[in-house]
Formats: sequence, C-alpha cells, structure tokens
Amino acid sequence: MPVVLQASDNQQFTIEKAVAERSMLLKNMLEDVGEAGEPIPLPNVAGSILKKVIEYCEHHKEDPVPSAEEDKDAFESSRRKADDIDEWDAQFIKVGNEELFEIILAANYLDIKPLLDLGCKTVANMIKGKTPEQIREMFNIENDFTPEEEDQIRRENEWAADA
Amino acid sequence: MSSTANLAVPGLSDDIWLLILQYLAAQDIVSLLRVSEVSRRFNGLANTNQCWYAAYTCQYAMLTNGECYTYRSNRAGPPPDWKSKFLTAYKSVENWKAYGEALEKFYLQRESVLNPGRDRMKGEDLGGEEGEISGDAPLLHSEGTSDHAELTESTPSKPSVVCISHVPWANGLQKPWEYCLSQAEATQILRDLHATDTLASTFTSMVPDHSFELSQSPTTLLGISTLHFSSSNDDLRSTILFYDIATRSLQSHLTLAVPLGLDSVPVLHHLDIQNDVFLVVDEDYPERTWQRLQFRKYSTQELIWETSVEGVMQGQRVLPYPLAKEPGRMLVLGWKVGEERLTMGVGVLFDVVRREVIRRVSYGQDVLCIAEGDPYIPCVVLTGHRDNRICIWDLETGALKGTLLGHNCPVWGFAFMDEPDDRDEKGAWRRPQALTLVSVGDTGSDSDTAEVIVWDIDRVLSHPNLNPPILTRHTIKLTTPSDVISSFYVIHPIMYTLSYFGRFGVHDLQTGKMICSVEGVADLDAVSQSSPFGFFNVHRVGQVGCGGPQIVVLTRSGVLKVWSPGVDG
Repeated sequence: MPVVLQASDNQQFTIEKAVAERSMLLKNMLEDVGEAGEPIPLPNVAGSILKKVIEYCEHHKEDPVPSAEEDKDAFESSRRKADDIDEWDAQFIKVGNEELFEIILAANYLDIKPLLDLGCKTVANMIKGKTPEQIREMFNIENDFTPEEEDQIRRENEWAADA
Repeated sequence: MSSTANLAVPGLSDDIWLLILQYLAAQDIVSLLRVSEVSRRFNGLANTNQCWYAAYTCQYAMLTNGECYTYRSNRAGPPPDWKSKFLTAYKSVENWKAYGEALEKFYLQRESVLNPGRDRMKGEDLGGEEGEISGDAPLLHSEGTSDHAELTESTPSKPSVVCISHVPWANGLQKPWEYCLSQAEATQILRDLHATDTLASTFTSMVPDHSFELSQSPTTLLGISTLHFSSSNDDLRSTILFYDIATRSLQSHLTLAVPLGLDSVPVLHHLDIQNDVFLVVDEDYPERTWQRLQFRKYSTQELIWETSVEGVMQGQRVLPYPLAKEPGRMLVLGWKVGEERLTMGVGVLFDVVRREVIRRVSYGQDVLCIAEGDPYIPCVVLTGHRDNRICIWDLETGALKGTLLGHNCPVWGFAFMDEPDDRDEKGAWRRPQALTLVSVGDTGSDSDTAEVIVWDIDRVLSHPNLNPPILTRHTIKLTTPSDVISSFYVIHPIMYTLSYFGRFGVHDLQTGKMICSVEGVADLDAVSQSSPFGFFNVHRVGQVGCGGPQIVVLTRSGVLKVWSPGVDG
C-alpha cells in the first residue's frame, strides 16, 4: 500500500510504506489513522527538501529499525565520531548550507534520527578548525559580545591554546 | 560549501545546535571553544553539561571497545560538572606529557654526570620511546648543568636510586617527586636509634599498601621494614619505622631481633590505627613463606598474640574483616604451595582479640595473585590464574561465583580503579568500590608487553550471564621481555605502574599509550642481588600506592617518594 505525502508547496510524492516508516512521525501517524489513502500534508517541508529526504529514506529502507531501548545506546556510540559517515551518505549530504539546514529541520520534524545525526555531524565537520569569525560568517551569526566579555572568554579558553 | 547562501541560512533551534555541538565536542575540543567565542547564545550552548559530557566520554574516557563509559548512575548526588571533570583529566594528561619530557631531559643529563660512558646507550634507549610521548607538550626551561650536578644522590655508588627533587620545573607544572626518605636518611635514622648500626636492606613493606587517604590523618602513616647489622655484635636486626607522610616525620619505631638459624626476616604486613593493631610476619627468604605472625598494639607495641600459619603459606593481602564491624578480626589472603608445586589460593581469618583462627577457606588452584573483591565490604575474593582465568569466589564459603575470561596470558595483578571525582562530603578521596577492576597479565618472557584489561565487575556480579564485561583492553610496553609489572595503581584515566626492573610508568588507559616513564625507580642493585626470580616476590620489588592526587612509591632500597601529578589543579 503506497503512501502519499504532500509538501508545503502542494507537490505530491507517492512512496512505499517501508520508505515512509523511516520517519517515526509518519510511522506513528500511519499506525494511528490506518491506511486511509489520503495524502498526508507536511506543511513544514518544501517539495525540494521532501524529495531529498525521500531519496535518503529509499536508500536506507533496508536498515534495521532501532528499538526504542537500543536507540539510546546506539545514539551514544554513534555520537562518538563524526568522521564515520558512509560514502553514500557523504555524497548525499554534499549540499549548500541552506539546503543542509532545511534537511536537518525536516529530519527533526519527521523524526528521522539517522538523517538528523548525519546532518548534525556534517555541520560539526564544517565548524571544525574554523575561527569564531569564520563560524559567524558561515552561519550568519551576529557577535553580540562586549569587548570585555570577549576578552574574558578568550582568557577562559586559554588552557587549550597549545592543544 | 557555498558561502553565497549565508543570508538565507534558516535558524536552527537550540536543541539541534546542541546535537551539532555534541558531535563537535566529541572530536575536537578546541573547535568547541571557538564556538563559545562566537556569540552569547553559542557561548551558552557550548558550555552546557551535555557538550562537556560528550567531550569527556569521547576524549578522556575509555571508549576503545565501542562502549560509552557512562557515569555510574547508582551514585547519589547531582550530575557531575563535566567541564571541570574534562579539564581535570585534560590537565592531568597534559602535565604528565610535559613531565615525561622533563624527566627524560633530567635523566639524560644526570646519567651523563654519573656515567659519562653510558651516555650514548641511554640516549638510544630513550630515543626509542620518544614516539610514544606526544611532542606538543610545553618545553621546560633548562637552567644549565650546574643545577643538575647538585642533584647527584648522596650515594653515587647507586646511580639507580633517583632523587628528582630539584629539577627546574616550568610554570604550570605541579610539584615533582617530593622525596621523603632516602636510603642515607633511613641509615641515619637507624644510627640515631642504635648508635652505629649500618643498614643492610630495606624491605618494601609499605602499609597500608593499596590506597590511603592523605587528607585523613592518621592514615598517612606508612610502615617501613628495615634490616640492619647491630653495631655491638654484628647480629642482624629488623627495625620497623612508622613514618608519617603528611608531616615527613618518624612517629615511632620497633626493633626486633632476627630469629637465629632461620632464614627469615620480620616484615610489617598490616597496620590498622583505628583498631590499634599491626601485624609483623617472619618471612622466609627468598621464598617469602610465612613463619611466625606477631599481632601487636600500635599504641604500646605490646604483643597481643603470636601464632603461625599451618603449612607453607605466602600471604599477599591483609585486611580487617569485615571492615569496622568486628574489630580484631583480620583476613589474610595468600596462597599455599601444594602438591606438584600447584599454588592454592587461601584465606585465613584470625580473631586477634580471642587469639584464634576462625576459618580457613581455599580459592582455587594455580593462583598467581589474590585480592579482596571489594575493599569496602569484603564478600568476594578474586584470584588470577596461570591459565589466564580470573575467578570470583564467595569469601566465606569458597564457592565459585563467576569466571572472567578474556586474558590471553597468566594474570598477575589486580587493582580497582579510583575515579578522580569520587570524593566524600568532606572532599576526602574515597577508596575504590567494587565497580571497575583493572587486571594485568604478562605475555611471557619472550615478549616485552603486558596485557591490561578493564572490567565492569558490577555487571559480572549482577548479570553473570551477560557477555564478557570487558570495558577496554590495552597492551603496555615494557623495557625488556623479561620485565613484568610488579605493582600498579589506577586512577581514571591514568594507570601508574612499577615494573620489576624499576621502570615507573604512567599510562593513559583511554589510548593505552605510555605518557611518561622513569627508569631506575626501584633499586636495581638490590633487585639483582636478591632476585630469586620466583613468581611470588615480584610484587614486592616496589609498590605504587596512592593517596588522593599524590602517588607514593616505595622502592626496594627504601626510598620513599611522593609525587603530585597535579590532577587537583
């Protein structure tokens, strides 16, 4: 039984149930409402992003679904490294900042943990080795420190200066 | 990444940023600090306990086995401050790295003063190790060789005794070895006590031998057994010195005659100030089998009970039993040599007040080391075996409760892991509880490594049928193939070892790497002269103990040293 998803721009996507169930949100929804065949509206996700998310779910539909209890441990151990991204995922996530953030938001909203982790790891890798100014520029963050505060924080962080 | 899209970057919630920053903290702490300098919001996010938890568990904890070292939730109290935990561990490791460099430098210079001819050889030895020591440690200021010349030991004929008390230390490093008692001083004490006696030997009976709290007087008291010649008639005598580390002073002493005709020497084996009792055992030499046992009062030195153990027994650990509940009862764990030289683990329970042996229990065969399973509430006994097993026994009945399989070589020693944050309400360091066990096995005389396994003992006892509860496993490199680790102490994440050939090593248990090492900590002369090379006296070459953040080493030659690695900065 296929599932129909409707993005915020009314684009519709027909996908296998197994693919939809990579999303905990959709999985629970399908369990609750049964298979009505009606399109499921996803007002928070644009069509272009939903297409990307579905591509990810298609590729990973065979992956074992972690049980709720295992979930926590798997999370802990997968958190350890951000450099253990598999090749397909690495290619998949090679997108612009805007799209990357949209994917993270969509993964968070749809509750697709591995995709959320993938996105977050990717952002973490982007931050690695950057100066505060570069980070501000990359994510358009305003520096709201007073010069005194800036000084103090730099002093606090001095212990790692040679690391 | 495209930078033109910057202005269109959508906002992420704090929750998602926290996820991102945890990944960052897990792999690169410096980048996390850079994030904290970005803006007020990011400063807050980068300083959350979650981020530092990730940093701590991933960077300074044991994760080599794919398992996350999680904080023991069964300990009461608020969650720890993971940032300060991280900083503590970080500083300790960094200090050790710098310390290792300083020691090497000092050692090279010192060697060249003492043995100009051996210069080159030593240099090569140390060069081989350099790869293990990180090169990015801060360099120390050298103040010229004139300083070093003054460091020469007062007994230059024994260059293997190191006294590193005046190395010019760089800023930021904590105190180096603070040496308490040199052989010369021990001799002087004996001369003061007995006119012109000369020191023959010092026995490394450091009591209490496992872990003691330097912050809690009077447990800073150490007992040291010395052997010396009487000035009047050349007879051997034994003097036990009770030395207080906190005040660096001799508290009291007891001189005993060495029994004639027997090749045995009185050695202090247990000191319990609270219950006002200490135990002196006449040890057969070099087998170290126990002959006469003397229980004495510490306050008056009056003899309470003199007895002996049946059969040929060698003791390894003495502990009050059960702690504080029944004063006067004392459990001795050791082994007996049975038929075909098979060693049997034994426990003998003495009631010192009623002067009787309450119980004898045996704990398996082919035992190489034996220890109580929990220093707080002794209810199990652990034995390490020649056939690579570690067994857990019921202390009272001797019933086998579990077996730990995982070592690929004979098991030589145990220690419980102290955790740096494990303090009581007063801030005193707690003794380790039966939670994390570290065991060491020797891979044999043809290999120069030792095998270290960290076990979750909790899990064994509560879920005996689970997979092997190995938290992590490492291989530690030794100086020569015939070297073995004779004594060790672990405070997370650092393991301190003392080897038979006198190398004091500091290892990082998260990576298994050696952070630094000092050669010649034990007195090599004494070791080689009296080395009967049995399995069972190796752990007595020297002992590493710890009180709080300080490491105490007592070598065979009686040099007592205290070292502050600076973990409480």
